[in-house]
Amino acid sequence: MSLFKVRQWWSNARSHSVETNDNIQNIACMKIDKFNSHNDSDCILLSEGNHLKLYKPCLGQDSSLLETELDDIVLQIETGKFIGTSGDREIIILHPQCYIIYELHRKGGLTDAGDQNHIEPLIKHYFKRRAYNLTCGPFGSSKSRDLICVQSLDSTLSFFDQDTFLFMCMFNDILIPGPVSYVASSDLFIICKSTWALEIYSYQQLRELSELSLRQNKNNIPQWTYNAGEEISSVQVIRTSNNFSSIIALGERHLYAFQDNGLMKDIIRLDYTPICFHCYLIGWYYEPGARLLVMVVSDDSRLFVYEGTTLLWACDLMTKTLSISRCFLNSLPGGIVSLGPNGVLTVNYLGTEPDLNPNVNLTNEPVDPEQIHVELESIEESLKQITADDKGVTVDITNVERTIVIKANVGKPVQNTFEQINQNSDSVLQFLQCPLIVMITCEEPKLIQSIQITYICSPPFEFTESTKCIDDVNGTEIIETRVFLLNENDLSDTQIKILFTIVDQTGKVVTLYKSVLLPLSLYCTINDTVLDNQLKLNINVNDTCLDFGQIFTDFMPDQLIKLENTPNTITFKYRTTGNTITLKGKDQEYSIESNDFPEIASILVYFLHKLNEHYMRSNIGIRLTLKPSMDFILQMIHRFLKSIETHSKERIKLKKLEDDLDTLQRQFTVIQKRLLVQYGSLPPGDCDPLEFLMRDTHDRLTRIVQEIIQSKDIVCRAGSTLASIGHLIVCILRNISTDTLKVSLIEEMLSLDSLHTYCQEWEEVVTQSSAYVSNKFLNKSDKDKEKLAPVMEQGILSHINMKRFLKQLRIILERVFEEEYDENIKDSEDKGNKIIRTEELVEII
Amino acid sequence: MFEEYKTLYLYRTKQYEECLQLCDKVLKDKSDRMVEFIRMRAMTAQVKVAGNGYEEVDYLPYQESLTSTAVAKTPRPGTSFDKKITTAHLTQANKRISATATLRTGVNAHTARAHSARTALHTASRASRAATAIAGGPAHNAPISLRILSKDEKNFIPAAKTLFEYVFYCEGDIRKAMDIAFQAQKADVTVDWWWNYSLARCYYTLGMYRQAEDSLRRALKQNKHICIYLRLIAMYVAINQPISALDVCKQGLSVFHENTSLLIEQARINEQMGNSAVAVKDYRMVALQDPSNMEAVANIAMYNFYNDQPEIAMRYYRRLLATTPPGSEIYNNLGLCCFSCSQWDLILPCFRQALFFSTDPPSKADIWFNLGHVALSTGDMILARRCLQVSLAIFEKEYVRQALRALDTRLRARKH
Repeated sequence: MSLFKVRQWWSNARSHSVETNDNIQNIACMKIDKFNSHNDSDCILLSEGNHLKLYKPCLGQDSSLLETELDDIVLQIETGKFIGTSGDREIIILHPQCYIIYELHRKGGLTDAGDQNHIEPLIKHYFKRRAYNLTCGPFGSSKSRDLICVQSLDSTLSFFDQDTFLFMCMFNDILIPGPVSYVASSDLFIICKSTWALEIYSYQQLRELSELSLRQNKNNIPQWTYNAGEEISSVQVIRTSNNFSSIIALGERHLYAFQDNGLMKDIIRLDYTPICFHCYLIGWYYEPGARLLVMVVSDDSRLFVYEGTTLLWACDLMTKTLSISRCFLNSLPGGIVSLGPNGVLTVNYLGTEPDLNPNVNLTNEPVDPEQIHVELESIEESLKQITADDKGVTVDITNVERTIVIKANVGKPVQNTFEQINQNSDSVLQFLQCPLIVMITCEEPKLIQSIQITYICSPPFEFTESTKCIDDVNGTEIIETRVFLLNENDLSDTQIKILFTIVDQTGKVVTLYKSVLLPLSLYCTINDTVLDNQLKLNINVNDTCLDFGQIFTDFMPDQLIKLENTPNTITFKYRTTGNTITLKGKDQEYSIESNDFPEIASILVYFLHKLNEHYMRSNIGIRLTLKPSMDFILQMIHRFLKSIETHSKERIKLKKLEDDLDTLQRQFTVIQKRLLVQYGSLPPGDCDPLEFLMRDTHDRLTRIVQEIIQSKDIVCRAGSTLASIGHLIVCILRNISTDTLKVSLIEEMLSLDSLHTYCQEWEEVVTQSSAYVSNKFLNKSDKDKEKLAPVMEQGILSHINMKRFLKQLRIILERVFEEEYDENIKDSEDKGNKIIRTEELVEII
Repeated sequence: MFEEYKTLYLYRTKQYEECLQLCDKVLKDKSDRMVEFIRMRAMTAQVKVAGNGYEEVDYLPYQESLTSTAVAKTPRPGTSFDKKITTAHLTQANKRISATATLRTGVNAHTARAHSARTALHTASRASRAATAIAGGPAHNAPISLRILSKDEKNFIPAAKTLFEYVFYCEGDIRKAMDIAFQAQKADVTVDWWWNYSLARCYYTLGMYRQAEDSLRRALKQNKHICIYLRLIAMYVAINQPISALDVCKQGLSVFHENTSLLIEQARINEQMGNSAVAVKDYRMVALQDPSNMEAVANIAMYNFYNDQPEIAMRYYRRLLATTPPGSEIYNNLGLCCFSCSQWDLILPCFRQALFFSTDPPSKADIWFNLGHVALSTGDMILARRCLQVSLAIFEKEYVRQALRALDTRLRARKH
């Protein structure tokens, strides 16, 4: 690639008529030579088809000297001294079946018409084989005149002197006739074979070869040969010194330069496809400083000038060029003549003054700063969304939420009689199963890769299947699972949480929650009314009491009526513990009565939920007021602390049993080892005492394991009781307090969810959180803090720490409820009402 | 009767498309041995240009030829290969500017390792491509000579090379081509280096590098042709033996003094091995021999840039800009040079041009990263941050992410 372009000096394009041929120009039909009649500058002989033209280029003129039509198409034009009589050079024109030698004549014009040129045929010779190209020169060092060698299409060489046939050489290893050249200085012929080799024969050899070809099986060995390994497309010979000539050959991708004795001078590897080349000498061959230059034209019409292997100049030729040469004109010495594909001849010179950066057009359009500012802001916004990950997610969540609709429903409890028959009847509870149906409807299933559904419940509830994965969601999916009661513990939480983990098609994970309340009939039955209860919790409504039949829709109305003895009073019996709870409705007050606290929690939650649901359905705004007495609260806290104490005591027991198990297990292994040693010793020792020991230890092990199982069960039960009272506390607090932060704080502090079947280390967790809450939110002196801080050296379950923990918890809870009551007292003092109570508004719209 | 002449002229002037049309026309009416051979040659030449058959060295990054299985209908301009090289190296320059010295070695090591895996894949793709290139042609163009010509015929030897290239490139049948080569070697009394060289081509395509090496070594004993040296170098690079390749380079250069193709190979290998200083010496020699060699100029410029001589690098890049078709890499590098030379008026126009010409996301991201660098040096932290964000939005690159993080912490520290 180069900066430069050739500058056009002269062209025949104007006078050129395209329709003279089929856009096919024979590259050999251009010859540049000097004639006596026009000795001031070179003339260009050009033929197209059967037209012959002679130009003498001159700036700004058409400069056509001669134009004539010949009988046959022209294959090649050469010049030389073929006759040898006149001093001028003759023109030889090769036709397919003959060659004709012409002489150029110039007649001086008498009038303004100017000079007249014409060519006069001197010799015309016909031959049989169709010709392809010719070469001429003083073969065999003939002094007087040039001989002619014609290569035919079947690649035989015929030699002629004027119009006499001399001899003929045949080659059978040329399939496509290639270039043939003659080296005048050493009388050699260069023949390009189809084996892609250059073979160099002397004229003498070729003469002998013609005779040999009559006699078979005689090989003729060339003077020298070069195997180029690629097809040679053209060869030129130029005399470079007194003794030597140079042979330049152009292959498919290489340019070779040889001396005529076979010495390779240069090889240039071209990284373009060459079309043609022309070599020339600067200076005269007999001068020592003569430089051999080669011009090569590439197929993307670029011109490269090499000296040796060095690139001297590269430029753009502007037009497609098939043949290139040099000419010496009167006003332009050393012009470059190029021949285009349809006979357009141009004379160029290598121009300088390059057009720098021709391709550059700067894109500097005027801009409006305000508009750019607006654009910039919008871009920044979108950039933020792309780069900041968390923001992108929120958008996606809404997307997923929009596409997915989830419905969760609980059906009626069903007695599973089939399994009842098959299994032992000691776990009757498990056979009452309640179906839980989740329906997922997705508008665009392609957006979602997979969904995982996880059910979360607190003991004693259990699922038949706790997780479910759906890999391909299409349209609507209905998933059913069943809930049942596992054991006879207290109910803590009757809500079921369903967790949906959705992976969308980009791989992002989105989680959604749903919660469902279990039906009362799953865990309760209707019992005969029990009227004397120790505990009583009142709920005020600013409306008359509803019939319980409207609230407890889980049970059949006739079921309710049948068992009802007193109006609007109902007693439920827990399936798990067998304890009863009685609900009463009178005027504007409901009351929940029972003998113990754990029973109240789940019924209270259920009752409030149902009540709200009912009023929501009937569209009545209502105020529910929970009115626990202070006494009730204090009792509740006391009971809560008591349950914690029981729980921790049971845990200590369990811990002790586990330690025992550990010791026994170690003891067992030691005995086993000893026994093995005894078995292995020679002679066998007395094994009976050891065996007795082992059996005894084994018995103790099994006993202790059974104890552990029982103890675990007790711990779990205590945990359930604890959890249910905890839930009651949270529920009451939520309903009487306006301070949502406080409610959630207490809820988080108690973290009742951390109580699970296999995970009963609740005290450890709550010690930390309660210490935090009491230190941060209760204004206490450092002394108090120190007093209540757990002793580090001992475990949480130790006596002193437990005492401190319970005290702390009591303080916190009492403080919380006292605050509520203080507020209420202030409110009620205005009304003159001394009863301590709380008011919490639940707005239902 | 002049059609033979016309086909010959079209063939000689390398107008293969027209030549093939005319050949088909001629061969419809009669069978002519010469026209048939011309047709074979023309087809071979077309496929060779399209399938990079003239390039002896084909271990350079060939992502393009791997991705596009489409048939190249028209021969590519002869210089397009060069252009590809420069862009490849220039993009490497991009990467380097944006990362530290450690990354630079990492990149090199990666390319060196990736070659061996890639070449096997690549040769397969190339072989199939050569085969498909001609498959689209007319159905009746089956070589009549190939079916008629038996190996006993007297002009089998002169025709063998034409047949071999036809089978190798147009039909893509390596086995058949090898068969021809063996027969020709048997039939010919004289030893011909070309057959060994061609067998090496077959072995190389089949991935049999050891046999290819043997054949090439044998060919080299018979004739010291530049093609053999180049093939040998390519083969050693393909089997990841750069030291042997360099050795062959040295041998070749002792025969062909200052040969540009050998020098370029030597420089490329040195460059890949991390000897930039040695490589640039060779590139300078290439540039002296052939000043129009873009790869050499681009590499010298890059070397100067990393050698803390951005002014000189800029002069080279300006020359490249004047001589080559404009591209994003050149403008990007010019912009960086301007930046290093404190030619503030030209930095942004250069990068703007680079963005205008850039097509693929990674290079675009690099340009934005560089712009962020420029903005940072002017003290415009907000602009720098924006540039980095744009870069990240276009294409995720780890160093951009790091830079953005660093910038953010700095901005935050300033606020506090």
